[in-house]
Amino acid sequence: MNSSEQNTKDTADNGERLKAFIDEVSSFEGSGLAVRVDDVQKVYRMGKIEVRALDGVNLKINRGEYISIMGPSGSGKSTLFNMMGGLDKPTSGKVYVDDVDIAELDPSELAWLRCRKIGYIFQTFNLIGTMTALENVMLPMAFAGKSNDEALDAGVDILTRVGLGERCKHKPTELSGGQQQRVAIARAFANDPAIILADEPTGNLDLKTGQAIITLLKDMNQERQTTVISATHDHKMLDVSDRIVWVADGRVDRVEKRKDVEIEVGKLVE
Amino acid sequence: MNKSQPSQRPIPPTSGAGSRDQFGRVKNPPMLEIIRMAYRGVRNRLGRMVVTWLGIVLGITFLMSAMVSSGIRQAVQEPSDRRAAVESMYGVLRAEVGKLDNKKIVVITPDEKSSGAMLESFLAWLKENAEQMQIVGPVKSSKATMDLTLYENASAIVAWVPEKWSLTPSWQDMTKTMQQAVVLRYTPDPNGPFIFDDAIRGTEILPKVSEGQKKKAGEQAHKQKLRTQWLIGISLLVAAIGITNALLMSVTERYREISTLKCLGALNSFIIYLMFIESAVLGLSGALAGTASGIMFSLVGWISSYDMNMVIGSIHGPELLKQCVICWVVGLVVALIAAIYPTRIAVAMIPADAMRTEI
Repeated sequence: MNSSEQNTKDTADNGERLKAFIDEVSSFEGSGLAVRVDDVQKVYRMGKIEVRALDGVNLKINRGEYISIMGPSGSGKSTLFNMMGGLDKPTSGKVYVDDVDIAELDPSELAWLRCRKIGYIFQTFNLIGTMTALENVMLPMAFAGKSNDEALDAGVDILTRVGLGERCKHKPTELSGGQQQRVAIARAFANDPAIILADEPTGNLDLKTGQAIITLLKDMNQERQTTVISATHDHKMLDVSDRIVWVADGRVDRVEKRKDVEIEVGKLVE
Repeated sequence: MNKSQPSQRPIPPTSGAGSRDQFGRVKNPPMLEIIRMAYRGVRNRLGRMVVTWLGIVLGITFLMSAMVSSGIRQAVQEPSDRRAAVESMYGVLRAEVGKLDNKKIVVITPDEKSSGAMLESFLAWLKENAEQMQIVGPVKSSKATMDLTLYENASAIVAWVPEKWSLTPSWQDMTKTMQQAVVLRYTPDPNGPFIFDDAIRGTEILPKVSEGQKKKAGEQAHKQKLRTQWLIGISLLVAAIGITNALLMSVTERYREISTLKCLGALNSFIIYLMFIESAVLGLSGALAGTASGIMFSLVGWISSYDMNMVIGSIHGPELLKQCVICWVVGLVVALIAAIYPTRIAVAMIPADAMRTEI
């Protein structure tokens, strides 16, 4: 403590750093964190070969933040993503969602986490092909214990919100890719989760449709203060992200704020 | 600082966040909804499942047609067996009495119950084969022992009565007075050996069916039964493998769907319900179709070689229903057993698989 006090006296810059540190600590203590990844390692065994997909990742994501995780294929991006969503268990280290260590949860609580706390959006949409758009959206509500009538009303509301109020009764095959992803977004938001995990949400969409999906996600993020974590290759995503986490070789390479990236992009353009 | 105490979970006093208590339990949707989902799944895949579904249908068809056929066989073969018996009875009568034209034959039947189809066939046969024959009776046995005038000039007496009756003293005495008469006795034993005896001489004209013959017939029937059971067993095995295959296909096909369901908060029990109900829908629908086609096949088979009215008339409603119910239960049970392995695979899937793009 002594040295840090001296530092603040020495330079104003250090004072700012301390403030940032205190912010960070207080946000942690006050549980402003949606997700905390604590020294997570993940090792896959492929026969005799060990693959170290994650090698000591630390990450804190605040509530209401829009985060993009960027990185090349094989960087551990997807693995990290799965860890944060409670879809996979780390070999060592901890993952906290809303300050709860998800490794401690029993299967039913994990299901509840996936149902109520986290909404998933997939690259391939993953709508249930035998169900209509509305039924797809109502499904997680049914798991959450909502009555059919409640789910019906809420489902129509949220489909209207994503611009598909007229297409409730359509099956996924009768919808375009962009519309399917809108249904998937509606489904992810169905139980008003704290966190949305979007895995390459624009990966299977053309440029224009992808842009619309990104805008929709960002709007929902603003409206509902839902934390959005998105794994992506799509540079359009960077525009709307609060922070960008670059992953390389199973580690967090750097974390950038949008402001900085804009400058970088600006530089590049010049 | 964080790294030094990573295991400490900060629990803020104000909000519920940070505590496991905020976590509730996931419920399964109502059973009706699960059944509807499973049904929709089957219906949507039926096009591709049709071959394996036909496997179930085939298995149940075998079972059903085997059961229906054995019923028809009994009903249709009985008259032809009876016909053979009547024929041999007539032959004995001819041999003892000679030409039956213008002869007097007395037929005696028991008091208590009607003598049944065999007697009717026999009388019909007599009328068909001997013209101007005088048939007296059928006379009830109580009356037959009282009225001796009945037997005057009788060439033959056909007694349609149990063995013990023939041994009553009054009957023994009576037959002694009937010098010319040949007495045929038929014992209505359900398993067949009918006896003709010459009561006057106290000997049997036709021997009973020998024990050896009886045993052989029994063995034949047993072998036939075993063969049928073996066929049914094999066809059910084929059906079970078919259902397992169909469900495995549906699991691999729905790798992503099942993982997605888990991402949406589905419990393993939900997946289990879904798989088993789906299998039950497959099994039951297959069994329904199988019973229908089984009945049809066995009817067509029998009608092609026997009289249609006789075959159709031989079908006994409640018995048929019982056989149908057996088939449905068997179809269901086979389907549920077949679902065990694919369900285990589905349950073992991890939700992260939903993220995979290359499936």
